[in-house]
Amino acid sequence: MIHPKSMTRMTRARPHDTLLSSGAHWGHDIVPYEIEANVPEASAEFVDDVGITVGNRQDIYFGSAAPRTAMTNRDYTVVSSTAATTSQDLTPVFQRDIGNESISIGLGAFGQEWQLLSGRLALQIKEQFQLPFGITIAGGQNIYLAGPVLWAVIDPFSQNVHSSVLMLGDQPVLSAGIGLLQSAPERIGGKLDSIIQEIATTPRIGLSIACRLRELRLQQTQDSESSPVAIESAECFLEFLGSARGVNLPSLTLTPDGNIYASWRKRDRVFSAEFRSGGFATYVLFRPTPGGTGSKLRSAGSAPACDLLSIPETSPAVWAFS
Amino acid sequence: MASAVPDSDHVARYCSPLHIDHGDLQASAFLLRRNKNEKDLSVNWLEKIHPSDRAEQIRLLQQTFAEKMVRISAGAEFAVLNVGGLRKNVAEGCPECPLLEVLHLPKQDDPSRSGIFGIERDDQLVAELLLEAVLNHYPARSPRL
Repeated sequence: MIHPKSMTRMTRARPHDTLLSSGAHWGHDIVPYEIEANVPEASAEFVDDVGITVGNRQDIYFGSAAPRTAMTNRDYTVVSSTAATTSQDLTPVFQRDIGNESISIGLGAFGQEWQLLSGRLALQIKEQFQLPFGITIAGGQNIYLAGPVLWAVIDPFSQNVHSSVLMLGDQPVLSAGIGLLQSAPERIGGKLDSIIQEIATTPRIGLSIACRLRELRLQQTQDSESSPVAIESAECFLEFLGSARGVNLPSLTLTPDGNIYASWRKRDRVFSAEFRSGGFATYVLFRPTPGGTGSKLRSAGSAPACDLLSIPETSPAVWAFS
Repeated sequence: MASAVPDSDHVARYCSPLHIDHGDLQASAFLLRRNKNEKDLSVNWLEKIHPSDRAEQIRLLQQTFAEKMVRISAGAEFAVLNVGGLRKNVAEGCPECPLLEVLHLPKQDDPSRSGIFGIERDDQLVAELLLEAVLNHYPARSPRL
């Protein structure tokens, strides 16, 4: 659905605190602007999920996506730092009800690979709400913050996410979701990406894990001391996820050799697993002694990934499940 | 011959963001690189940098790493451990493991460089025990002015 230009509303901009101050190598700070969206009154209490993009001309664009619980259509407000000063209009393009089971970040409009990182940043809007953002870094070192994408990744209960594309002329500035663009971007190729796509289909936790793995993959490219994510390890981890339905979301890191390291922690309990080649995983289990003396029982071993949480030795790790 | 770092002293382990999830350091930061047949876990002796001031130790260590590394990732950290504490925790948690040794192995561009030796088997268990022994952590990057 393409909205006519007349639906675009420009708001008066008012600068707030700097959003990004470190980790960005393009040398600019983003100054968020207050925006307003035309929200149907019934859903006015829901917070907008705001996407922010930095275009390759360093313009700043804000777009609001419909809140997840709002069932009514809503207007879409787009403002850019340049447009606000030069009275240019931007044309928003909507795609609604994109299934978030398979959110992918493919090649962006600039022909560069996109990667999705989990965001830790929050935007204060009207000093009332804090919204998390997904962060993507394109090959040209432009940084794009995508609210709807992160929303989809962290919200396992929402089957649909409203995503949006900002168009400048006929070129999309930001893309998210499968089939979102009229000229769909090529997907990131490679076996690892296929495995991550499959991991993303794991109920409840798959999207968060896929997001994290993509983040690790990108981080590894910037770390000369580490090895890339090992495909065999990813396969092993996928096998584990297939057999451990209902397991909670673990902390995920990479070993120096590129193996996936998953860790579940709860108070004085630890269950950690390194997923290795050949379908095997090694594990470590810490738990308090049954007598409650304050000391710990510690054990370690290895098992096929598909049996990791079903062998007697790891049965005390039942708390790793919800 | 390398000298042992005293049990009373402290070492810092550089931890890449690859080993940190949601701000929490994980034991993968204390694993050896098996594919490179690594024999010791690289750390830095803090009291070698400055005898007592932790802030100064970290500041100078940040400087050392900024000079010797091509790039320090945003989010990288130094994890600080007491030598005696880490040796004791591993010995108690893994009685069958060799007693760890922390030896000073200075390099020209890294005078406080040291290594934790003795991690031969059960390296994942040792890594988790080392994580347990972490006292504190600090950014590996100097703050921007």
